[in-house]
Amino acid sequence: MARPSRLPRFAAMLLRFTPLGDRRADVTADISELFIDRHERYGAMYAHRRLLADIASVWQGTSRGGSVLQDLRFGIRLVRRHPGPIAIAIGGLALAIGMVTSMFSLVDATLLRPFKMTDPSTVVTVIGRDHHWSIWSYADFVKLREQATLTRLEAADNAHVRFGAAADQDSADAIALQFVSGGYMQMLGGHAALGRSLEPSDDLVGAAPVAVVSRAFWTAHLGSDTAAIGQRIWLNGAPVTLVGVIDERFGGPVKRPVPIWTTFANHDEIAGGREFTSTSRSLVEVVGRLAPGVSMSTAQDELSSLAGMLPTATGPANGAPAAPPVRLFSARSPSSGQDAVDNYASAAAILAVGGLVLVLACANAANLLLAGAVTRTREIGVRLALGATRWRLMRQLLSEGLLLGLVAGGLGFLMSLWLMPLLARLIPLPADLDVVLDSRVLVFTTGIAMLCGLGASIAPARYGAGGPLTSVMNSQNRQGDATPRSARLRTSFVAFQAGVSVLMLIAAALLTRTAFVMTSRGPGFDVDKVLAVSIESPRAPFDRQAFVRSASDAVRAVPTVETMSLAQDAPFGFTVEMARFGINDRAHALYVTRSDSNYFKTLGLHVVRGRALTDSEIAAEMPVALIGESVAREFFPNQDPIGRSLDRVTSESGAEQSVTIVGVVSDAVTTRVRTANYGQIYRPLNSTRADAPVMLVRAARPLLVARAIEKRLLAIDPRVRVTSALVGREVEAYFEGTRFRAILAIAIAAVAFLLAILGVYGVTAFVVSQRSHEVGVRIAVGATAANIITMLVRQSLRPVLLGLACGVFAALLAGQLLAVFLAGISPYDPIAITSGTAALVAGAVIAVLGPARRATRVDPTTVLKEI
Amino acid sequence: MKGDRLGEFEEFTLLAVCALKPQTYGVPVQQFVENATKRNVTMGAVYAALTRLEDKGYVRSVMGEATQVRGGKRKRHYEATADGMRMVKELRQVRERIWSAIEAVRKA
Repeated sequence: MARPSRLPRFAAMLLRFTPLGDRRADVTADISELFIDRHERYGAMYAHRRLLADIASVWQGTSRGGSVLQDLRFGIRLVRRHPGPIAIAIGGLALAIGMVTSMFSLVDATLLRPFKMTDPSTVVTVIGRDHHWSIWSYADFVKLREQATLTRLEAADNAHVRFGAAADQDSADAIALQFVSGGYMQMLGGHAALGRSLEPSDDLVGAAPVAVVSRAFWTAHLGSDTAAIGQRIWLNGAPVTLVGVIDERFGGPVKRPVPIWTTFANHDEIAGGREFTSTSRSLVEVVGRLAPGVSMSTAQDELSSLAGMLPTATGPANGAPAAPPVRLFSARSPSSGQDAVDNYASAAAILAVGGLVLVLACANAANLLLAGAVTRTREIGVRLALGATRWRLMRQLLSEGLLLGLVAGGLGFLMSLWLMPLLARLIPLPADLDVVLDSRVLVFTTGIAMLCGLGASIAPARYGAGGPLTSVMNSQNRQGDATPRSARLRTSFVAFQAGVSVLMLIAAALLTRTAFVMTSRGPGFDVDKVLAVSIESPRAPFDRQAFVRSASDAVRAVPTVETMSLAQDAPFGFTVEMARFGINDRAHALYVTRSDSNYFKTLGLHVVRGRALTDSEIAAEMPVALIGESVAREFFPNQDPIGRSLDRVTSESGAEQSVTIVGVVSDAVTTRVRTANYGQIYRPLNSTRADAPVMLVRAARPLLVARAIEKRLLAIDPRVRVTSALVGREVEAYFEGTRFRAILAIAIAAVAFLLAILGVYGVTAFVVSQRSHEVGVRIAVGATAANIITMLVRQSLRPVLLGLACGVFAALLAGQLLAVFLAGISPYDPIAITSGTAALVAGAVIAVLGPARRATRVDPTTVLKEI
Repeated sequence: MKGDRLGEFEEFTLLAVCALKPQTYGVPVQQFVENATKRNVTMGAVYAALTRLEDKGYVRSVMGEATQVRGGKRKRHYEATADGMRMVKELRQVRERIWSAIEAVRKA
């Protein structure tokens, strides 16, 4: 057994906080000597158990520690006496803590955790040229890499390939692959767990084609077979030698895990079409590592001056401005980099919602504790009279709160264990993202729990310990007295809870309405009848246009195929083209779909005004366009858009171009967008674009024709690769996202609603019990049950209504933030706002009615006798 | 609490200090009491007992010098005072008187 040389860190920490005074040094030394001795003689388990007992005993032995334990023990006794309200408080807190913990773990996993590579803090992305992306031409990259002295530069390019473990085998799905420069793995710390990693020599022209795979991929696709290393694998049909499995602690500065890496030297073999030589214009992504001790700005200056000297840089000689300076951004974690602000903002937004629920739960717990403190004024008064200090009493109440918070935190943590996988499904995350509870999450949860406990007990503690001594002792009131101060506190808690929960209810109602609207309206086109067929052309010389022409004819000839259309990408494909158009002096971003004239018929989109594109317009790529209905409504209210023109603000060439509107198409969601209006514009397909268009095939049973189409296309040219997929599947996934968001919002709102109702109920029940005497008097002098109920309900609902008004106001203010997630409905949707408000009012009335009715059952004679 | 008299655990602790002559410190005392009584003894209990014994004047303590053995950590050394030794002897006499009474009854 390994002999420990000192105390475990937690124990040393505990001892440091133990109030031992000048005895700390020798006590710590004694305990650690005993621990080491026991560890050696009886094993780790025994030693740790005894160590804990020793530390606890030392705590107890000291007077200060002892009183804290005493407080806690007293607290536990109290809980046993009043389990109901405490259970509610703990339950509410646990629910909120569980939710926030899960949210934080996800934010942590997606944004905050550093990328898996060695020393992430010195890795940078290199932004130049267009000032937005770390994209450089390969030629520029090679030049910069040679000349840079303060930064080591490497490059990568992402692609998808089909993988085969044997020559005649092919994976069904495309698998992500990164082409990297030779030193990429070395620089970032991509060491091999088995075999070897990629080396600079693998990237030389004429080097044997090699690849390495991630451990996850090796397990999933190669059956963890060590014999696979050194064997050939097939990427897009090209044989490549697998030389190693990369350690799972490496991922590189990428958000989605990369399963396969190979060098640029193999690009032509595997993907074809682009070359990577010192004069190549192919674009690559450049990452760098700062030399030790070099600051970001020094490295930036060096790279800027080097970039200015690149042959491709537009120098002052052309009259154009000098090359823009290179900018470096940390590539430490997904949240760093140039959009760090956005990332942190979205993380903050997620956590803010969680925080709000947390505050709500705290208010709830505080409310219940406050009610407890009021009934305990007598107990507190007695202790004050016996000589307890106010500080001692306050500490009693605070340590009770702390205990409450920690218990709730423990429960919440357990809850988050099963909440997290659920939440992970709500947000579209990469399937292999590893969401784990790391130490950061634990620290976060503990902190939150303690904060909640203290937060919930501060008001009651201040109230409880501040009570006037004499009045308590003199008072014959058995219930303690409800002073205006505590009453005010409690009603403001209720108002706050009502406000927050109505805000959440409205948000949930809006998202639910969105989900309903989306589902009932559907994507706006015939999802189930369309098959997307994509064709990958071979590397060898190949007349793509001729092939597409004959392929189109062949597909049309397949029985049961109704129509066929060529488009730049399938609906919900990976290409999202956006362009800005100027209308009425304002620029609007629209999603561009490029297609041939059959597109609308094939997808089942209706041209509601004007006409579709004609073949001659497509062939000539005329500056014409159709726009979606909602675009027409927004941009040309009460006007006929046909014949009007839109000025394109930006285009690839930089030149402005204006397009004429020839028609209006029914609204449809064909891109992964999340804007309120669908904002679509349809343009002629650009036939000169390098990549092949996608064939969209409409058939009654599209899957049945898939095979036939593939066969016919291969008959035209056996070298092509054909993949077909139902458009419906992608659409389904997209719509699922909307539904999940609604469910998430409903869940959050339900928690908030429950907490608010509990709060209202708790306060009403308490007030009613406090006022039973008054009610008895009222009944004795002739008040009817109805009078009493009306009075109590009216008074209890007042804070709820106040909070409600504030909540609705806040919801109106927050509308713009929510609008991002809403499609098809306004953030000020009256139905959503009314239903949210109504739900809260109904809940509150029910919560108030019960205790109010109970109050009327008071027997006036018993109450009057008690005077 | 008990005036100058000793509780059971205090007695064991004092006996341990006497047994571990001339000087001892926390760890051997704990091990001695644990071995002799065959029950788990926490350090906190040992310290509490030692502190009380010190208050009553039966033991005294001095901080030792740093040694290499405990990584340079200093020990607090305890030894029984004359009062302490007298107390131990007294306790033993009390017990022996009682035992001789018991044995006398048994023989009879």
